[in-house]
Amino acid sequence: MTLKIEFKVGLFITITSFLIIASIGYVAYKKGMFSKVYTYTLSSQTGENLTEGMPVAVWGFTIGRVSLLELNDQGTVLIRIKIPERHNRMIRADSKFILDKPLIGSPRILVKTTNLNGPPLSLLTIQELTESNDINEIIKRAQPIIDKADRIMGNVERITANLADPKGNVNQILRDVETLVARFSKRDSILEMAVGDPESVKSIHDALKKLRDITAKADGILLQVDGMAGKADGILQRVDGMAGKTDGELYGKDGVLPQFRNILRDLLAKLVKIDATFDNINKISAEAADSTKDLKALRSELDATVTAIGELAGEIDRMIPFKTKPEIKLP
Amino acid sequence: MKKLFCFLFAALLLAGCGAKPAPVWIAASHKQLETFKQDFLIDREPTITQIHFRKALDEIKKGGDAGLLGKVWLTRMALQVAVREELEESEYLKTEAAEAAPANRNFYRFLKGDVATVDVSLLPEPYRPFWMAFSSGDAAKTAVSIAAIEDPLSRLIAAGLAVSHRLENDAMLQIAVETASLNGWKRPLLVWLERLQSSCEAAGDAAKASTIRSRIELMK
Repeated sequence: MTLKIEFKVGLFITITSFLIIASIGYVAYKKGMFSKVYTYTLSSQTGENLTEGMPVAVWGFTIGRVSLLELNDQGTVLIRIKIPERHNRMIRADSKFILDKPLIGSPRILVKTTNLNGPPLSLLTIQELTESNDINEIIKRAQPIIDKADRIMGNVERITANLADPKGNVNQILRDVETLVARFSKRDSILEMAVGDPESVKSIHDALKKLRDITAKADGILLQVDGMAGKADGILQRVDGMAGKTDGELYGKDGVLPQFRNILRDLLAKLVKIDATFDNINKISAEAADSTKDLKALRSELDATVTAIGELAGEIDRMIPFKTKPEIKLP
Repeated sequence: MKKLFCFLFAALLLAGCGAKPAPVWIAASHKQLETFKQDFLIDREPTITQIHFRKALDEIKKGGDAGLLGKVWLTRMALQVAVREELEESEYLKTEAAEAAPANRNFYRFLKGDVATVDVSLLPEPYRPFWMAFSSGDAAKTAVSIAAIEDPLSRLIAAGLAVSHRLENDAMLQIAVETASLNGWKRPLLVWLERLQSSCEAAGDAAKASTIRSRIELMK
């Protein structure tokens, strides 16, 4: 069945409006705007820390609010609290109302009910509001800790006094250390302290001196051997020189082989440079190939994305109900 | 309350979805073909234009409908008539050889200007008065019938067909130029302006021809 577009739009607007109104009504209903509210009266000697709108809580859950604060003729503060019907079962005849002033956060009224099955609290009864003060509680708990800290400080003071006293234990230890160091300084060496006999120490010193002399002589012999080797080197160099003159034309400065060697060296250097260039070309081509692969992958991903978006747009376009059905016609 | 909500939501959905949507491939091919037509006429880059045409063909091929495939090829031929280009008919002829659709064949003959064989009753409605005037060989009547065509593309196709068969006058060229200009179709506009310029030069109206030349230069 094909309906006219005006009818469809009208139907859509009507149903949408109805749904909006119904939603608002439903939310209001769920929020308890249409439910019955019970008003209880509490009394307090002071209105300090009490404000209108302050929450009334049971076990951490807010069940109502302070609606009004007023002062009666006797100078007592009367506090009216409003509790919705769905929470009213928490307010019983044995309920206690406590003004809770936490260290952090705003004050609130706590309801403590021991027997939830007890008779309900009469609306005419005026319950007294008691106070709970977290700050005082914390001070009470902190007192023993402060006492302990005080004792620790006393001990620290005693230790420092001992340090300052010339006849104290610490100073005595320092004096003993000083004496020990002085004794060390009077001996010629640690060896003497270890052996305990100055003669033995002297013998060890003599033996060491002789060992040093032997080492010096061995050094002299080695130097002489070195000199002989140097002379042998000189002879060999002369032999080399003679051989150099003989082969001068071949191996001389301007000989064929050195020139050939220079050419080869140049060639080698150039080949090294070309090799590096080839390496670079290889690297560049490899990078270019990698980049091409990346570009292809990117292109594929872009294609896929564009296609997906196009398909989505087409799908949405196709599903728009009031749009003319697409038809391929001759132009 | 929740049940009522569900019911109303379902009712709203039903109200919105009264008509059954077209198959995906038809919707997609239609969209691609429309984009191709637009790109062709505004003289967009040929590679992009061809992409849309190819996609339109691909979508049609999914459905395997030779009639629709023929229509797509004929659409391109009609656009070529509108911009006075040479017709590329080989692909359409292949389609017709595989499966001939009378309406398509008739439209092909129409595009070729074959007065003897075109069946007016099979032509799309907007072209029928034009075809009668065209068949009579009267340029003035043809120009009037072209001006009466509501769809701008059809108007250009008719004008292109008339001019190709030497049924031409200034009014007809002016209609084609205005149609292309109003729709922002650069490609046919340049073609028709050049044609108008030639016509003015032939008639000895050098001043008008020069003005048109300046306009063409500005557009390029």
